Formats: sequence, C-alpha cells, structure tokens
Amino acid sequence: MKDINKILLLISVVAFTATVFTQCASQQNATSAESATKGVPEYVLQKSGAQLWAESCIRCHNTASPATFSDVQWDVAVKHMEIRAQLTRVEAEKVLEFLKSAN
Amino acid sequence: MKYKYLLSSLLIILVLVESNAQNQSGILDPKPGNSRFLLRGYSDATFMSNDEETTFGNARFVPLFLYKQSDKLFFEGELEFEVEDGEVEVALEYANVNYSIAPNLNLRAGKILIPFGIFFDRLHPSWINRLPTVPLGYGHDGILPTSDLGVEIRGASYLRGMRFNYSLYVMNGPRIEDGEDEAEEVGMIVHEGNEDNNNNKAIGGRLGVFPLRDQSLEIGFSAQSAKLGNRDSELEEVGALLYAFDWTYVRKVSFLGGVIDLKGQVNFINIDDQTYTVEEDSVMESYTFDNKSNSTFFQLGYRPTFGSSQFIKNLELVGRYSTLNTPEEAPWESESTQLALGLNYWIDWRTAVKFAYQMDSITGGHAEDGEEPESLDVNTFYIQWTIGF
Ligand code: HEC
Repeated sequence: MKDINKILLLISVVAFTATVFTQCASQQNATSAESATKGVPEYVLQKSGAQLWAESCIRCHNTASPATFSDVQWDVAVKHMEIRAQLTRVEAEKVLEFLKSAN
Repeated sequence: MKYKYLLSSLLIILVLVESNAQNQSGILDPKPGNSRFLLRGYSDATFMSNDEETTFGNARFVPLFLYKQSDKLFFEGELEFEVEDGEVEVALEYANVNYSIAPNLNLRAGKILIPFGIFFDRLHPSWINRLPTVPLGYGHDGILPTSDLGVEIRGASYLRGMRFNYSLYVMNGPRIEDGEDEAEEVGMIVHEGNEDNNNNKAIGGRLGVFPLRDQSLEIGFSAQSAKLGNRDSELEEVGALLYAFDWTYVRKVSFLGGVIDLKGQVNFINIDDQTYTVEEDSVMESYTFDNKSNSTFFQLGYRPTFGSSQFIKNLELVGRYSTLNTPEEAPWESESTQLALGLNYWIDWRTAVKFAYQMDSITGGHAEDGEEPESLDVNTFYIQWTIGF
C-alpha cells in the first residue's frame, strides 16, 4: 500500500508538471485563437456549434434550449460548463457562438 | 513537506506565466462591462411513504452564485438550505475560484466537489439526478468522497484524435473513525471531516476517455490515496486507496424511439490492515478485519422522442440498481442492495415531478456484539418535485 501511495504521488506530480509546462510552452508560441485549435482533430473543427451543443450538452442533464438565456448570461453559463463539465476550449467557443446566434 | 514544494512551484509558474501574458495583452484587467454575475440554483421537496413512516421528508433551496471576472478568472459558489427533522441546516456545497491557465487547463482552489467517479460531481443536483434518492454509498455513513478543501487542475483535450478529460487534485482528505465516539463504527472512513486531522493530504484524480467521435460514450477511471489517522495517534499511518470506474452512454436510438441514458459507477475502498482497540461498556475489545468496502450503481433511463404527443415526450422511465458491501467481521459489516424504479414528468429542462418506488434490502449495519446480523427489507414510495432556475 505504501508503495502504491508513493507511485500515485509520483505519477500525479510528473503528469501535473508535464502538463503545466507543455501547455505553457505552447501558449507562449501562439496567439490565444491558435492555441485553442492547436492539436484539435479535424473532425472536431468541422463540427458546427449546433452539432456540438446537441452532442455534448445532453450527456449529464437535459439540454438547455438557446432561448433559456440572454447572450450575457450564456457567456457566464458556458464558461461555467467549460470548467465544470470539462469542455474543450474549442467546444465552448463554438457552442457559445451557436447559443448566442439562436436565442 | 512535499505539498509545500508542489504548491509553491505551482504558484511561481502561475505568476511567471501571468506576468508574461499581461505584457502581451493585459488579459486580467477587468474592463467595465466585462465582468458578469449570474445567480441561479435549484429547489426540491420530497414526499416518502413506507411501513414505518409517511412524511413530507425534506425540502431544499440551493442558490448558486457564478461570477466571471474575465476569460481567466471565474468563481462558483453554492449554498444549501435544507429542512430536515424540523430544523434548517445550512451547508456550503462548494466555493472555489478557477483560473484558466491555458485553453483546456484550469486550476481551481477552494471547496470543490470531488471528481471521484461521476455521481457527486455531475449528477447529484436534484434537477439532474433521475431519481429522488442517491445510490448506496452516499449520504449518511457514506463511504465515498463528496466535497473537500484543496486545489485541482482539470480540463479536456485530445490525444491522437480521441477526446479525453482529466482532473488531478490535492485535498485535506478523509479521516478514520477511531472508535472513541462511536465504537461500533471503528475503522470506517469518514469523508466530510469538519477539520483537517493530519498533515497528510489526499491525492487523487480522474481520467475520462471518449472512444466515439460523437461523445456518446465516456469511460472514466478515478483514484485517491490518503492517510487517515489523526496527527500523533496510533492510526496516523493507516492509509486508504480508493478507486472507481464509471461510464456514461447517452444517445438517441431510433429503433427504440427515444434517448437511452446509461450511467454507472463501481467503487472500491481499501484501507490498510490494522487492529483496532476500542472501549465498549468499559471492556477493551479489539477488532481485526480486512478493511475493504465496495459499492456500485447501474442506471438506465429512457426518454421517448417518437410521435407528436408532447405529454409522452415529457415522460422518462428510470431504473437504478445499487449495492454496498462493508468489511466482513467489522462491527459495521453489512450487505445492501437497492432497486429503484422511477417515472418522471419533465415540465421543462430543469423542472420535473418524479415518482419512484425503491426496494432496499439491508443485512447487518450496526449489529450488537455476538449477534447474527439482522436482515431488513424496506420498500418506499417517493414523490419529488424539483425546479432549477
Ligand atoms: C459533464 C457533465 C455536464 C455536461 C456535459 C454539461 N453540463 Fe451543464 N451542468 C452540469 C452540472 C453538474 C450543473 C449544475 C451545477 C450545480 O448546480 O452545481 C450544470 C448546470 C448547467 C446550467 C445551469 C447554470 C449553471 O451554470 O449552473 C446550464 C445553463 C448548463 N448546465 C448548460 C450546459 C450546456 C449549454 C452544456 C453543453 C455545452 C452543458 N451544460 C453540458 C453538468 C454538465
């Protein structure tokens, strides 16, 4: 058990530092628009905001229709979901754009 | 000691990155009109009836505060007011600040819902939960993590074309029941401690992968490791390793004429071997047992989408099977199963009336010394309304 604890700690620390460093490095070499789409597979980039909304927003709870909120409220709610529901930045941006265009 | 290094290095990295970013664009400056506040939340009330009692069980009002200061800084905080047994209890569900270090990389600090599996982090609010009750392993005497104070990094990204999400956290962590207050619970893990009982911190995380491109399937693995005992006590070095598997499959299936919602989680709680000595009726008793517990839930929901009747489309059928096993030979040895069947009527995406019939079967629990564990079957009918706003 003690070994497992140590291994787990080690894996966490290594993974953590590695992500922070790689992410920060890529961030500095790119503008924010570029870094959001960097490494994103083509099939995701091709999906529309409406499609991502339909696929993603139904996984945990019923899907909110765009009419639920105003633009300003969606700004906050989608940022909340980007964090809580672990959306990728690309998904969050596309879904937000769709919700604002369809409410 | 190691936590000091971890946290300090993290802060230093953050400050460096941030000062660099500010040079480029001044991204943290809160410009007038850019910061946004949103007040939401939910409320529910439950009626229950079984052989022992028929009562308007409890009611809750749960306000949620969201504040987006900039694209990088975000706050979420949730309070819970609950009437239970005639008293109003107030709890801080969570309160944390989130800093988006980079796209797909967030750092949160404060009181956080622990992403150990999916139930507590994602599914427990009553407007999301498909049933009026929670699976075995949560709630009173729960063996599973719910929320805690600490820091977490989380996000989602793609690896070789496959979507994944991740979370890594360091929290104050659980403690162990040493038997001083409740002798019959000695050796039990307690997650919602009021204060931090030792310098050891719980370290854990979750990784979820999405094998299908339409995100309909997610498979997750979580683990957490911590030492449980009080500072300078005999149990100080007793460690616990918890791990869990979870799955989510939500998809419209045309030949069934509706949306299928499959969710579940399997949890294992392994605590180091230890002999516990407790005083019971002025006699010292010692217990040695293999301190391993497990719990599961399997849930299936079906929401029709066929036809033109809005009434039918608002209906949902749900079934959930749940189990909980605590260690053999422990004073709290038990085996429980639970089957809940529900019918929901959704008035809105966050407003519903839920009807459920739940069959609980419990063997053991807090058996008296030397007695054979008792078996108990309880069938309960529930009605709950829930509204999200
Ligand atoms: C991984 C699970 C998950 C996914 C996927 C998800 N949500 Fe949520 N959502 C939640 C949870 C959990 C809450 C409740 C927060 C609380 O009360 O603690 C919530 C709450 C909300 C709320 C209420 C206001 C708020 O911010 O709490 C809105 C609006 C919302 N979600 C919209 C969306 C949209 C739009 C999507 C798709 C982009 C989405 N959700 C995808 C889990 C999810």
